[in-house]
Amino acid sequence: MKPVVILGVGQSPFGKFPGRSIAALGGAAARAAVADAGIQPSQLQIAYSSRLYADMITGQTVLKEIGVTRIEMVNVENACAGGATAVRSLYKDIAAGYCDVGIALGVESMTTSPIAGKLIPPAKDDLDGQLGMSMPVMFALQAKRLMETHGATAGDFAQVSVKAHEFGAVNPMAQYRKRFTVEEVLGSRMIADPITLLQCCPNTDGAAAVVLCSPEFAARHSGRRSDVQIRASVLVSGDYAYKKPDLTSMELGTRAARLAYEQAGIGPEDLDVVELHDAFASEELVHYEDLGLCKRGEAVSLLRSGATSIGGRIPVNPSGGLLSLGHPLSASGVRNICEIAQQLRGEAGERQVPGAKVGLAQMLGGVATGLETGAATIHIMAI
Amino acid sequence: MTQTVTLREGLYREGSEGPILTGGRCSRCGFIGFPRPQTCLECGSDALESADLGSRGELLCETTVHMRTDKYAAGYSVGYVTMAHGVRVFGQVRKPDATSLAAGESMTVEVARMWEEGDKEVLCYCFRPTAAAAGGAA
Repeated sequence: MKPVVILGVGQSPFGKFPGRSIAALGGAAARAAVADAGIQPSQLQIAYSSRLYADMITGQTVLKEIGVTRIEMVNVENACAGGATAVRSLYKDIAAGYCDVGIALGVESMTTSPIAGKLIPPAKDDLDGQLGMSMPVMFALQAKRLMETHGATAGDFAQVSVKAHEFGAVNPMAQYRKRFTVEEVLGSRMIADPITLLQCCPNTDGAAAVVLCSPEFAARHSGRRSDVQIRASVLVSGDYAYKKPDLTSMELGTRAARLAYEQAGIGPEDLDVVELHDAFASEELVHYEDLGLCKRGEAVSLLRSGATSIGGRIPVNPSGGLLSLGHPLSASGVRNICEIAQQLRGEAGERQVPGAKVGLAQMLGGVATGLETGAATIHIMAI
Repeated sequence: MTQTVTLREGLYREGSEGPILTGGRCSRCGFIGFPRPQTCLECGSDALESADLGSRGELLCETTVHMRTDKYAAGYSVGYVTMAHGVRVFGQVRKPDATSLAAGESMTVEVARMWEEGDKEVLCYCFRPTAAAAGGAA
């Protein structure tokens, strides 16, 4: 397998833009990524696009906005991991030598989707969904177990959100751009106890895109002294839920992390920065342990130590995460790869993690009766 | 007159002392799952028979949802209950009041209305704290 270079990254503004079409949102991200790559749109050889609340031919609809037609275009869906799945698919094509350069993008208009303003449900004929399961319920039940098994408090969960908004306040692309106190987070409207409104990602419209290429293509086209490379790309699906002893670890997340560290030839102690799925504040604690950022059972003390905050040993979600930056479902998995690339280039502005050289982007997606969850992706990047 | 329909066949059966959850047991390897799968999730055998998971279980965790959905008004509760053979089952939790229930609480299976479709009531299993169920009225 050949190494794969991240040549360009881009995102649209994230927020509530019901008047902006998928083509406009996605086009903004694709245009930004191609410009950042320093290439012409006509040089793209393949495109993978992702969107959960889909209509036909998302990629073609978006890329015609920037003059890209005729090439092979594939449209993928993997719930919140869809965008990262598109990146993974493009990664494989380039690593295998099928093509030299391509674009992966994720786009979502949540405010015009059928679930706008609602709790994200499973497929409509899913048994647990019919009985009241939804994304916040899944993570609220996990949070309840964290309180039993880890001694986590409502204040700990709120602190994850406070941390995300600290970072997001200095990210010009973030939806909230506002700091909150633990008291404000806890005092916001209850959604599914113990999760309050400010511990949930908002409904977000937006898009993100990356241009990936071979090292040879980068050598000819990159204007940078050094480029970010993808050192590991992993996509796994979930196992049956009955195999889980409890709700406080995600087997597929742990499995994806192990495979990614093996591929990259590094361990979690080598990471400088992490972006992960924080659709609901409490789940971040589970991911700390599943990614090996701390030992089993120590997620709460890792959070309380400040290690994952600004200036900490291993800052998590310096973008502001899904909680503050926003969560256009299929865009988020692309967007958090963009964030790590910007961090490693030293181009993250006020939210820059000083000297970051190795970073990890993780996403999760989907819920269905009988499965732990749908998909997990991990990309490890280095410069 | 309101008709009642069952959300899905095969999830429970009526016992002499109330409803009993029913999953599937693999006659080759003994795996027990809920809902009853077409094929054994462990060994792939098609030889599955109905297996009782009992009428009582132990609460693992529950949450109360404060937003309405297409089917439920705000304030409904759901959770996981560990049934016989260690099978973890998701379902609605019908509580006498808004107080959170503790892990380990004994829960009794009931069949209750989930939602209405036109003049039909859709029924399914749910869980009620055994202490409240014994009281009857809650």
